[in-house]
Amino acid sequence: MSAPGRLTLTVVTPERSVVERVACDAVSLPGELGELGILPGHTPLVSLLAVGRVVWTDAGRKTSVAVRGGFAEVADDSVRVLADLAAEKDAIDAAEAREEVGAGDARRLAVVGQEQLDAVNGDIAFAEAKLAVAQGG
Amino acid sequence: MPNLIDIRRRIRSVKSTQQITKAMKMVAASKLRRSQERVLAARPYARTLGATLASVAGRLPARDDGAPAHPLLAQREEKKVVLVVVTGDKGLCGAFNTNVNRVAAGFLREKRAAGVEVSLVTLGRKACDFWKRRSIPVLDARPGLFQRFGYDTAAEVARSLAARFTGGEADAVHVVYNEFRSVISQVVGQRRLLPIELDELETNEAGTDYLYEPGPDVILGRLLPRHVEFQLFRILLESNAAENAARMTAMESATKNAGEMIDSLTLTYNRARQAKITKELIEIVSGAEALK
Repeated sequence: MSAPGRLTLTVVTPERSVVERVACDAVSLPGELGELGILPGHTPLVSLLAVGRVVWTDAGRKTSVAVRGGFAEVADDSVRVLADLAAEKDAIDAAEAREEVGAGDARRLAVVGQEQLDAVNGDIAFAEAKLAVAQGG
Repeated sequence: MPNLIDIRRRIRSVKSTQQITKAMKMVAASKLRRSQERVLAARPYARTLGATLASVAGRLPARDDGAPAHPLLAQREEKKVVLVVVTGDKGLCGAFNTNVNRVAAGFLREKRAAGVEVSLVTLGRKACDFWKRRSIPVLDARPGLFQRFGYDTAAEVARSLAARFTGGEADAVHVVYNEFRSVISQVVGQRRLLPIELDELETNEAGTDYLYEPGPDVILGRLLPRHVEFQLFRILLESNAAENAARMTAMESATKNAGEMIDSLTLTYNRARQAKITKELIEIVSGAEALK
C-alpha cells in the first residue's frame, strides 16, 4: 500500500517496465472515452486507453510518457498502465518524432481502407504524443 | 607404435575445436543472460494482465443461451487442431530441438489415431526444416524468427492463429515448446493456447468492484486477444532462454570432453615418445657393446 493520500504509478509494456512504482499526487490517463484524471481515493476502475500521454504530478512537477494502446487499472491508490508501446523522454528522438508528425498528412493520403487509416492515425498520434513528451513534461 | 607426428597433429586439432566450443559457450552464456532479463521484464505485465482479465471475466453476466461471452472462449469438439511447434533457429544445443520435434510427432500420432485433423505452424528454422517434407500440412512457417523478435512478432502470429480459430478452421490451438526450468534443465511443455480457459487464470483476490470504461464486454473483447498474443510472446521468450541455456550446457560438456581427449592423447604421446627414446638408447648401448 502506498502512503495515505498518494498514488503509485506503474507503466509496463510486454517488453519492459517504463515507470516503476513512482509516487505521485495525481495521474492523468488518455482514456478511450476521454481524458481521465485520477486522484488518491479514486474508485476502482479499468479503462481502455487511447493513444496519448500519461501525465503524473509530483509536488507540482509534471512528468509524462507517451503510450499507445492497452489499458489501465486503478485500485487501492495504485495506477497500473499496461500499454502496447510506451516511450519515456530518454527513449524519444525528438527530431525523428517531428519528422513522423510532419510526414503524417502525406501518409494519410496514401491510405486505402478504414483499417489502414486507423493504423496510420495511431502512428501519427503516437508520434505527436512522443513529441509532446520530448518537449518537456 | 603410433606415429608421434600424427598424435601431435590430432592434439592440435582437438585443441582448436575446444577453443571454438569454449567461445560458443561464452556467447551462449551472455545471450542467456539477456534472454532471462527479457523473461523477467515481461513478468509485471503478465501479473497485471492476468489479474485484470480474471476480475473482468468473473464479472460478466451469464448468457441465457449458454453461448460463450467471447468467440475466443468457445469450446468446440476437437476435429481440426493446429499445433504450433517452437524450436530454435540453430543447432548445437544438445537435444533441444529434437525433443520438441519428437513430442510434436507423438502428439500428431495420438491425434490422428483419434481421427483428428492436425496442421502445423512451425516457428524457428529447425522446426521448419524438420516438418517441411512431411505429409502434414504446414500452415505457416517462420524460419529465422528468433534472429530478432519482439512483441509485435508474437502478436502477428497470435492474431493469425486467433483468426483461424474464430473462423472455424481450427477447433483448438496447441503449442509444443521448451520450458525454461533452470539453466541446466529444460523440459518440453505442451499446452493449449485456444480456446482460452478462464479457470486457469488466477482468480481475483478480494474481487474488487471495478468501474469499467467502456463496459466489461468491450474490455474483455480487447483483453482476450491480447492475452493470447502475450501468452505466445512469453512462450517465445521462454523457448529462447531455454535454447541459450541448452546451448551453453552442450558447449560446456563439449569443451570438457575435448579436454579429456587432449589429456588421453597427451598421455599416449608421452608414452610413445618415451618408448622411442628407450629404443634409441638400447640401440646405442648395444651398438657400443658390439664394438668392444
